[in-house]
Amino acid sequence: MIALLGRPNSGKSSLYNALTGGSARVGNFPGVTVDILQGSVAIPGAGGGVATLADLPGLYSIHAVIDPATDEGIARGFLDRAEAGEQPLIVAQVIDATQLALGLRLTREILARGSSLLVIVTQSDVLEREGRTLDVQRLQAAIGAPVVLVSVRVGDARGVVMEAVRGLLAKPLAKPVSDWEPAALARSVLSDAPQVSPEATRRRTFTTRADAVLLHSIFGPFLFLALMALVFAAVFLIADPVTAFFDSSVGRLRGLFTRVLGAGLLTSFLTDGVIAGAGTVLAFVPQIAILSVAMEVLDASGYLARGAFLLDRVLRLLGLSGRSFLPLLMGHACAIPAIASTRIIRDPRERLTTILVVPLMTCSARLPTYALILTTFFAGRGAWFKAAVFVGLYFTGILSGLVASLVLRRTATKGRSLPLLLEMPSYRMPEWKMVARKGWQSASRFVRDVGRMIIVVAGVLWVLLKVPAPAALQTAPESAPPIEHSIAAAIGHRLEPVTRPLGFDWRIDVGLIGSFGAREVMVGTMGVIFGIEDAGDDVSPLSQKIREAKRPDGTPAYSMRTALALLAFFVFACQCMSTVAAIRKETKSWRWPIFVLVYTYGVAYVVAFLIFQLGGLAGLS
Amino acid sequence: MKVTFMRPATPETELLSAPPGQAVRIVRIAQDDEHTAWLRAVGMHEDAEVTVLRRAPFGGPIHLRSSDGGEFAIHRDLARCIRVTTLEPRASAEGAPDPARSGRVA
Repeated sequence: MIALLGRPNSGKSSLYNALTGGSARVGNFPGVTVDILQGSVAIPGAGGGVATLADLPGLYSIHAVIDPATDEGIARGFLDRAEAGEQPLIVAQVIDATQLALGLRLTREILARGSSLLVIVTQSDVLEREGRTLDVQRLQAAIGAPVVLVSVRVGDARGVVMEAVRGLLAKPLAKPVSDWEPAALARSVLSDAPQVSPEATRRRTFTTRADAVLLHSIFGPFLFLALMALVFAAVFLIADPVTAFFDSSVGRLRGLFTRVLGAGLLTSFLTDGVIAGAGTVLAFVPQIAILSVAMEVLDASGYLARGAFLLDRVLRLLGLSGRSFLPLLMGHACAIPAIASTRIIRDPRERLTTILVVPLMTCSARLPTYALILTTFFAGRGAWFKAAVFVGLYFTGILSGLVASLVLRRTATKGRSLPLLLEMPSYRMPEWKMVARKGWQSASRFVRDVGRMIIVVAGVLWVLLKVPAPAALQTAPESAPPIEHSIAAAIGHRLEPVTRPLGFDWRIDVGLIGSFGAREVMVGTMGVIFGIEDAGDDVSPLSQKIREAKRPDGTPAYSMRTALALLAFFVFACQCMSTVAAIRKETKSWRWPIFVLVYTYGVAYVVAFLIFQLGGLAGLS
Repeated sequence: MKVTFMRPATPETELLSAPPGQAVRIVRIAQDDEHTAWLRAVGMHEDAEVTVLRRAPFGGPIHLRSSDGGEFAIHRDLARCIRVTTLEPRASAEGAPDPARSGRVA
C-alpha cells in the first residue's frame, strides 16, 4: 500500500491522477468516514505486482491534530492503522518544490515516526521557469530517504515515481535522519540557476505583485465581489440556453411517446411522471457543472484563499469564516453542490453550520414558484415593484441564513473553532484536465444521486394526482373534477386544518406535498390541479385560474395575505429531498438532515402564520 | 543573502501591532500546546522570522510570510498572542521589491 501524503495545495491530487491515470474510486477503509480515493498502480520490474495507492486528505502536521474529524485527524488515523496492519506501507510525501521548507517540516515528522518514506518533489517545471535548481542527491543524503523530482505536466512522472517505489521496496531505508532544520536544509539544496533571466524574476514575484492589487484594502473586496457576481451571472447566462435545449428535447420526447403509445394511463405515467421528472433533473445539470468548474478554477488558481481572507472578518461576526463564502454563494444556484463544496471548510463545526444554513439560500428551484405568485397576485404592480420583491426575497434568504448561523453557533454547533490559519498559496494556472474532470464528476454525481430522487418524486406524485383515492377517503362530491378525487386531494383536504391558519387550502397543500420532494414541481402540480397543461411554459392561464379560485362558500380562495405567506413558506422550508440526502451524505448521520427539515419547516410555518394572521389584523385583504 | 539584520534590544510587542512590511522575530507564543503545534507546522515558532505583509480590511486577519517562505493568514486573536521583536524594517509590503514567496534568495 502506498499512502500519498502532503500539505493542502501541494499538488497531491494532480500527482494522484498522473499515477493512476485518473481511475479513482472511493476506498472502503475501516474507520474512515470521509472519502479517501484509492486506485491501483503497477510496480515495475519482474514480480512487481500491483500496489494500492490511497490519496489521504491534505495535512500540515502529524503532531498538530486538534480534532480527529478534521483532515489532519483522518490522515493521521489512517497512517496509524495502516502502519499497524500487515501490508507493507510506503508513505509517499508530495512536496511543492516552490514551498520546499514548509514541506520538509512534515518530512521530518514522518521520518521521526520511522515510516518508510519516499519524497516526491513536484512542480519541477515551475522551479525551472523561476530559474532555480534543486540538488536532489544532496537532499536525499541529508534526510536519508529517497527523493524524486517530477512534474505532472512534463516528463514521465509516473515512471519515475514507480521506479523509486520499486527501489524502496527492494532496499528499505538505511538510516533516516530527522535532526535537521527544514528552512536551513531547503536553503542549502535550492540554488539559483547560473543566469536568472528577467522572465524568471518576473515569475518569482508574480504572486506578490498580483496580491498587491487583488488584496488591496479598497479594490480587493470590490474585485472579489465583482468576480463572484460574474461567476454567478455566467452560471445563468451559459446554463440557460443549454437548459432550454434540454427542455425542448424533453418536450419532443414526450410528444414522441404520446404518438407512439397513444393517450393512456401508462403514457401519462411515462410522459407526465418519469420523463417530466428526468427533464427537471437535466435542467439543473448545466448550472451544476459550470459552478463546480468555476469553483475548481478559483481554488486551483489560489484565488479562493484570497477571497476567504478578504471576507473573513464579515463572516466571523456570524460564527463562520471566509471559507464559508463560496458554499453560501453556490447555494443560490443549487444547495446540493453547495453542500458538497463545504469540504473546503477545515473547521468541522463551521462546516456543519454552513451545511445547515445553505438550504436557506434562494436556490433557482424556488424561482418558478416566486414568478407564479408575483404574476398572480401582483399583476397590477409595475415591473420595478416585482423586481424589488424578487431582490427582497433573495435578501431575506441571505439574512435568514446569517441569523440562523449566528443562532446555531450559540446552540446546536456551539464549541471551539480551529484558529484561522489560512494558507495563501502561490497563484497557479489551473490544470484544465483536472478542471474538466471536476465538472464532469459533479454533473454525473448530481444525475446519479439527485436525479434518482427527483424521478422517484415525480413518479410518486403522478400516482397521487392521477389515481383516485379509496371511497372511504373521498370528500369531494361525485360531480367534482377527477383531480378532487385523487389521493393527493384526499391528503390535501386532511391537511387543511393544519394549514388554514396560514391561508393555505387543500390545493396549495397538494402543491406543498409535491414540493416536499422537490420544490421545482410546485408550478407543474398547481397546473395539474387547475387543469392547465404545461403550466411551466406560460404561467398566465394558471395565474388567472388561481385568482378566480373560490372557496366552497363562494368567496375568493386566495388573497394577498395567502401570497405573502406562501412566499415566506418557500423562503424558509427545505423543500428538497435531494438536499436532505446530500446533508445525510456529508454529515454521515440522520440527525442533521432531520434537524434541517424540522427547523426550516418550523420557521416556515411560524413566519407564514405570522404574516397571514398579522396581515389580517392590519386589514390586508 | 538574507536581508535581516537584528537590531539589538528592540522592545517586545504583539505581532498584531507590527505594521505591514515589518519583519519581526518571534520571541514567545502564549497559546496552548495545540495551537502552538499548528503554528510550528507552518514555520512559526520561537526564534523564527516572520514578515507582516498586510491586514485584511475591516479588522480582518493578518497576511504573513514565514521564514520558510510560505504565506499565511492568521486571525487577529492569534496574532495578539505572539510576542515579537522588530527586525530591519522594510519599505512597504504592497508592491515592495520583496524576494518572491518561494523567493528567499538563497
